[in-house]
Amino acid sequence: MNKFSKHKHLITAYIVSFFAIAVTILPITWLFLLSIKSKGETFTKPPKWLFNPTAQNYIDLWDNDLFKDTFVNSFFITLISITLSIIIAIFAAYALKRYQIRFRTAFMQWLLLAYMLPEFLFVLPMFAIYQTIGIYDTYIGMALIYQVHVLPFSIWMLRSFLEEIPKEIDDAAYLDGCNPLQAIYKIYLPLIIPGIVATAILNGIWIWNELAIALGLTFFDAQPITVGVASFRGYASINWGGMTGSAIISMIPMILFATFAQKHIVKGLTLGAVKG
Amino acid sequence: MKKFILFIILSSILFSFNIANAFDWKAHSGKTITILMNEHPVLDGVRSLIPQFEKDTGIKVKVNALAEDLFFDRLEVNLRGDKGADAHFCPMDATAFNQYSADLLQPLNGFLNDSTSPDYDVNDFPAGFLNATNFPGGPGSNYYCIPMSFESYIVFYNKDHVNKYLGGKLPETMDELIDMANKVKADSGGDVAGAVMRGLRTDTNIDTISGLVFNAWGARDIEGPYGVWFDGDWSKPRLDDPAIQKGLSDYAGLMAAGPSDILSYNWNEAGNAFCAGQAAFFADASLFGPWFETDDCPASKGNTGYITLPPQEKGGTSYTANWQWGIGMGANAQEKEAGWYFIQYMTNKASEAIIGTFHGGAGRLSTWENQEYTSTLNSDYVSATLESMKTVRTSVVPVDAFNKYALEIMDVILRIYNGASSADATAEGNANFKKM
Amino acid sequence: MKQTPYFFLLPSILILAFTSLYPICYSIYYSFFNWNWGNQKDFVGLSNYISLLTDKKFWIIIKNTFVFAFFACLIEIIIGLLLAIYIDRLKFGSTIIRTLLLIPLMVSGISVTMLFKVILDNMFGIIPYFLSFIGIKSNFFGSYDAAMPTIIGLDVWWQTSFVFIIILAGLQSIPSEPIEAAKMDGATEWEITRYIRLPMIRSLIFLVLIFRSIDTLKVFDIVWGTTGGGPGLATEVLQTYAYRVAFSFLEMSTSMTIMVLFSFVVILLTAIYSKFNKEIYE
Repeated sequence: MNKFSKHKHLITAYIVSFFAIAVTILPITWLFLLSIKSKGETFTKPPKWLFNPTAQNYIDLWDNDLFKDTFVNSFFITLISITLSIIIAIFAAYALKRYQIRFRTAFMQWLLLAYMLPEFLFVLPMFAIYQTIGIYDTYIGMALIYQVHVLPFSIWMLRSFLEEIPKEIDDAAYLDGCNPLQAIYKIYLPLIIPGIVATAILNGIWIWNELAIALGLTFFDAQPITVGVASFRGYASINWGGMTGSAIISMIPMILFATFAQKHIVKGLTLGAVKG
Repeated sequence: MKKFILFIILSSILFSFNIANAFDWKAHSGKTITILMNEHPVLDGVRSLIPQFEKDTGIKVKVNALAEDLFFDRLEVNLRGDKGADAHFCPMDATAFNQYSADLLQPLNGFLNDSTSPDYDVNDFPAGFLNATNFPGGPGSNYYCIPMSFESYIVFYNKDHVNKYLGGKLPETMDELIDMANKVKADSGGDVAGAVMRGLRTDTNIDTISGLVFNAWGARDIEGPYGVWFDGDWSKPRLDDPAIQKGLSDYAGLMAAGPSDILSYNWNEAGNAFCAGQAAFFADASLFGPWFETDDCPASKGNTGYITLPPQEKGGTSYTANWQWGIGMGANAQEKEAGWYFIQYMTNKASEAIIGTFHGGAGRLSTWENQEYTSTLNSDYVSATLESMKTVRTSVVPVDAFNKYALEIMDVILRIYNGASSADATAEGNANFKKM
Repeated sequence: MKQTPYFFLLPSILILAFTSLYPICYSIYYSFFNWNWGNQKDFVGLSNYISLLTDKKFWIIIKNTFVFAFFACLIEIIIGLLLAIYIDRLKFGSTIIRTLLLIPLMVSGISVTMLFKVILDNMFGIIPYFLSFIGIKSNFFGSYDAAMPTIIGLDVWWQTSFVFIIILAGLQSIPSEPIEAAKMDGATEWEITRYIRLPMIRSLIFLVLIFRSIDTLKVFDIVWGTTGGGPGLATEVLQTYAYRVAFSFLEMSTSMTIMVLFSFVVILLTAIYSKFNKEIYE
């Protein structure tokens, strides 16, 4: 009886997955179809399923220097931002969990306040400062400003995952007499890898898709891919092929990153083993 | 003898003076300028000329171009920094006025007088176009933007639909246009939209709206700077004037002949619908014309007709509004002289004829007589636009935060569209105007 | 050693101070003026606050914002939670399934808006086309009644994976001992989920609730790009209004007043949440 009910739950899980995937993927499929349609076929009544596909849009993107530049910019900005946020957040989360900080509540509320700042509003004051300091339109400038959004999220997330760790492990770490850095590196880090990965993925996606801040604080050198995609919105007409094609392409690095990173969100990661 | 020598000396002085004054295009060779522009056919034209410009002047050009709404955001932020672009696409309306009021724009008269090539002829632009950004208005004012492209508000029609549902007959009055649009919508079972318009609730529809309102306003004077919306004083809005009521109702009437989700239509959706042959009529900016004749629009290429806004009475005169894109310079530009060279180069007679072929809305009167320009455009488009140019008036109202008023005007139209009487809707509009 | 925690917190404090303190103070400061992003900068005290809070339109906008946030959050958390519970069970093919489910999140705001405008367009859209076969005449973004639900649906499609991936990571971090023990005792899968798994990730669920709440209250892209806040005021939310006021009307001060009011809402909300989950701040 046990074996059957175990399979039954797996089966329902697969069925649910199937429907969920169908719902999520169908619009994306349409996005892809749009990107291989030629001009004049994008808007037809009724909408066309069958048509002659063309790769011309993608070829044009390959030749599009602006798009390529923005792609590279986004890559580096995202990389730097994620790295910064995770490293800083781990230490902050550990400090918040492990020690009695006097201003803890105020600090965590401030984190939420920073997170909720509407992007276009807080670009304005930062614009002047950035030009003065000279980090306007730079990778590091963008990585810093993005911390306003990703750092609070990372700190809250990692702290929450640290909270899940049973007290016995904390005590064990104490008794072993490791200093904080060792404790973090040897004990806590491996235990919260799923949490770190989830945070990194979500941060990466948010930064990669961010537009308002990028619009205000970049110009040529650090202009990210979101501005590049938006540039296909012409005056009289939108270049649908270019826009959908670039949207598809801009998803690919994220998909690769998520696939690769998710191998680390694996069940029952050694929590029991470490305890032993 | 002495007189002869004097004569020789004087004439040689004059001669060398002239040589020295021959315009030196290479005066700023080696500099690099930054241009902030909007993705627009004008930009396509400019881009085609940049290599030649760089060769002729030795000035290197870096172009930063964005989709229109993003461009506006970036422009506003850019003008307020320490260092800005050296030339930018300038919307010649209240936006420029607000920027001027905040001391963000560079006055251009100094450049026009001192550093301009003699064959430039700034007065080749219609006074109405230049005055759109002549601030503060009146003697002693400065030009802040030079026109690059203009649009007037006309009506496009799909020849196939007009032939099929209307027997090829064109409307001779505005009311006829609305009736015919409704007829197309009804007879096609809702399959074909009688008309498409910008129905989205935004302040940016004000120029098209002004076109229809001016058409109802007729030959009456419009006292600047109050525009048609105010009666000689900012505290006296007159939205309930019968002509304005008619104009706004005309707009709502055309919307009613449109598709059921017209409330989410911005110029892009409306243009797309017409381009794909899904609408019989489209009243909006003339600039769409050249696009409808390209391969992007197989259903409207060679199938589009162009007329001015039908007058209120049979045989009457059609009136409409105009709006321009221009090119200007921020007060915080770093390379002002070199930037001016770019501006005058791209707006002189030779360049405009070329750039004009990309967008079909050249600003200079001489360009419209230039075969090189007019031959690339659909002849019906040219004649309709030229005819509209005879009676265009600017839709610009230079007052702070005009966008708020513009949004309210669109709200009035939406109230009429939803069934309110034009008297009630405009009375409410007046009340809201007074609160601002 | 006593300095260690403060030392660990220093980088985050420094960076956040640099990037957030100045904008926050700047906004609070200018909310007491009538700054028009130009030369007009007179002190007006609380009059921005008073005129906003007494404006009927503003309360409609607040209502819209909360309606959107409430339904979007509710649906996303329920679906995200269920998805996480089910996918947690899978081993075979789970990486692919998880990545596929994450894909909507990877589409940028502009692309999502553009895509759904096309898909749901009355004239050219594929979904109205299918609906017409079963006799439904649809009007998504252009209808007063359907616009908000459509946008909520859009957000659900787009952001549910956010909930999903966090809860999933939480579920996968649960130690296996208590679960094995429960299975030995004969508990069913759902009983295990209900009595062991969910309580263990309780604070994580609240965390997701907090962040989704803030994100949905802050919604901008998918509203501005599809309906521009319309038809009428049907979908105008706090952010679209603040943006319109700032960039169309150039009333910077009013926009910043809205932001300050918004932060009060957020603080209030988190205070309420912490009543339900005492451990949030601990």
